[in-house]
Amino acid sequence: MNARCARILLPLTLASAWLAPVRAELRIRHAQGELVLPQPPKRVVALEFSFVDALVAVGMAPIGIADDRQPERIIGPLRDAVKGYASVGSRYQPSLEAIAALKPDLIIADQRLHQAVYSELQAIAPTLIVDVRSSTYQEDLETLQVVARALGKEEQMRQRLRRHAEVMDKYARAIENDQQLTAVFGVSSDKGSWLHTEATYAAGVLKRLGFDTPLKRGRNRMWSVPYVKTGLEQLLATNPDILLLGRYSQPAQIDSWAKSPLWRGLKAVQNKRVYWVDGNVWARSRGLISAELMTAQLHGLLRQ
Amino acid sequence: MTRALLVYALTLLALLLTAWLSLLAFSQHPLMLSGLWQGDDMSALIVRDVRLPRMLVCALVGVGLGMAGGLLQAVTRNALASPHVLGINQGAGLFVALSLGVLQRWQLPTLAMACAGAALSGALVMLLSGLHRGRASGVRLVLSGVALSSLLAAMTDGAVMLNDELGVSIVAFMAGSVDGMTWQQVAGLWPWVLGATLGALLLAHPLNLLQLGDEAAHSLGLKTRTVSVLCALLVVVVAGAVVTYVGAIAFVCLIVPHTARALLGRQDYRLVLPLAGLLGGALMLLSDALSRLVSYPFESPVGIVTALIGAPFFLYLTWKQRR
Repeated sequence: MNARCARILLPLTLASAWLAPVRAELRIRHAQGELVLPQPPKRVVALEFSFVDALVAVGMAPIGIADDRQPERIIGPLRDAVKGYASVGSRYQPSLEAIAALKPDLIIADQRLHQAVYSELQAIAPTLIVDVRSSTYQEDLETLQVVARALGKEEQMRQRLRRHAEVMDKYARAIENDQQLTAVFGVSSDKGSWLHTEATYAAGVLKRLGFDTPLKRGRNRMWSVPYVKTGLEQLLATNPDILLLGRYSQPAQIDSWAKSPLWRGLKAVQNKRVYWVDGNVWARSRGLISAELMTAQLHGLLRQ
Repeated sequence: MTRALLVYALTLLALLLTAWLSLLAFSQHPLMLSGLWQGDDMSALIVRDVRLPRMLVCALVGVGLGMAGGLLQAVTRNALASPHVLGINQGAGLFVALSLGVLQRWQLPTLAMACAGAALSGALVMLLSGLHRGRASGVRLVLSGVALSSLLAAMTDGAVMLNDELGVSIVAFMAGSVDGMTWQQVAGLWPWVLGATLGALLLAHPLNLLQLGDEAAHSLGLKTRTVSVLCALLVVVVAGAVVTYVGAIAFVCLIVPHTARALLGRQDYRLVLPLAGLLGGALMLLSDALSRLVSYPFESPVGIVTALIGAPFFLYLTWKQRR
């Protein structure tokens, strides 16, 4: 009887011992196939700002960030949460040595920026590769769930996404865009000006709030590219109801356009709806916290 | 002489045609020539306030670059010489990039920086090739120019890497753009181009003598060194001014003087230099119109179009010289 018991129990014990670590193991499908993590990561290095946003959104903080060695690029709401992180250099060329020195157990990288060094990153630590640089707002919401899966925080992210949807709905109602106004975000330096088309993150946030864009995909093949170089002439043809601008230099090209009598031909100028916004937030940041910040800023501006 | 007259007449016609294209073609607005002198609607204002200054900048840049290319090829007696091949544009570009980036807090005047960069790289390439001794072989000049321009371009890339915010700006700038030109740029550019044009016309005859070779020119009483230095100064000023206002435009300097010589069928710089100016203007105006077509209805850098026209021509030139 005892022997029989043992014959049944032993395999069970063995099986459970074998199964236990399997339950902690994470399997994530990403741009490089399947990533397997033996356990939820604790020491994460983020090679793009949007990953910082994702980590903070689920209550974690990266130990290393590719911050271009300019900590002020990390937007205000995230800065306190990531205090004490180590910079691993430029997003375009992160320092592999600096990353290795941090002994991470997960690296989150961008497909466009870091594909070329994937094997080097993978040699340092398991590396998750997702496409954020070229993603729209909607695509980014899905990417966030992939990142959350790799962090073992799927449930937290689901809750956070629900809260995000509520916040955005609240603002959309508050902004009350029942006249179907159009809005465009653009940036201007002293050497040129670029508009963000429907294929960009900023346009996605504006769309979520009920603003249409004149720069729609499909209407013109050019508008499926994210950024288009514009002159005053093209801006007048685009003619959005609301024009949001990020300044990249002092003075910027747009400042000289503002002196032209043509400037008053813009609907946004006539209705006093040209707003200078923080280019760092609107052009560079992606993620739930970033989108909420953009939305809060826009709401504040429109109420003025 | 009749050939020269015909060539000039046709070139002027081409200039008018391309000016018309640059002024009115490829717009989402219904632009009309009459907008130049009447009407206060948006289309008329666009012709007057956006297209006209842009067209004038293109014409000025083209004239300046065409002349500068002619001067440089005459004084180096090298058919492959141009501010872009010899690294003069890249020198100006690097200095502008530095003044916008690393040296930003000193608020250095961009024009002076561009001229300084152009002069420095011009002087360097002349030293490297031994031109200051008056005995540079064509190959050495072009080789040192190419080496120097790659070095300078790499340094500019480095400056871009260090500051990606500026990156888009500098990249657009190195490609050369004329969208967003206003009367301010026209006002800044014309004195330099006018000065260089007058200078080039005065130097045309001495340059003809220089083509006979240093010794022959010397024996005819020509101060060859003075002529070379004056030419170099004019080239640096034009390249600096153009780089400052519209960025580094490639290939106009290179192809236009060749076309001028080929059309005229002779080397007389009194005829070649003005024609190079007019042809340069026409090429820039055409490129401007085409640059709006590349990613219509939005803008692309005009320098891309001049390079697209210029690069095949450059290859054709090298191929023809081999035979």
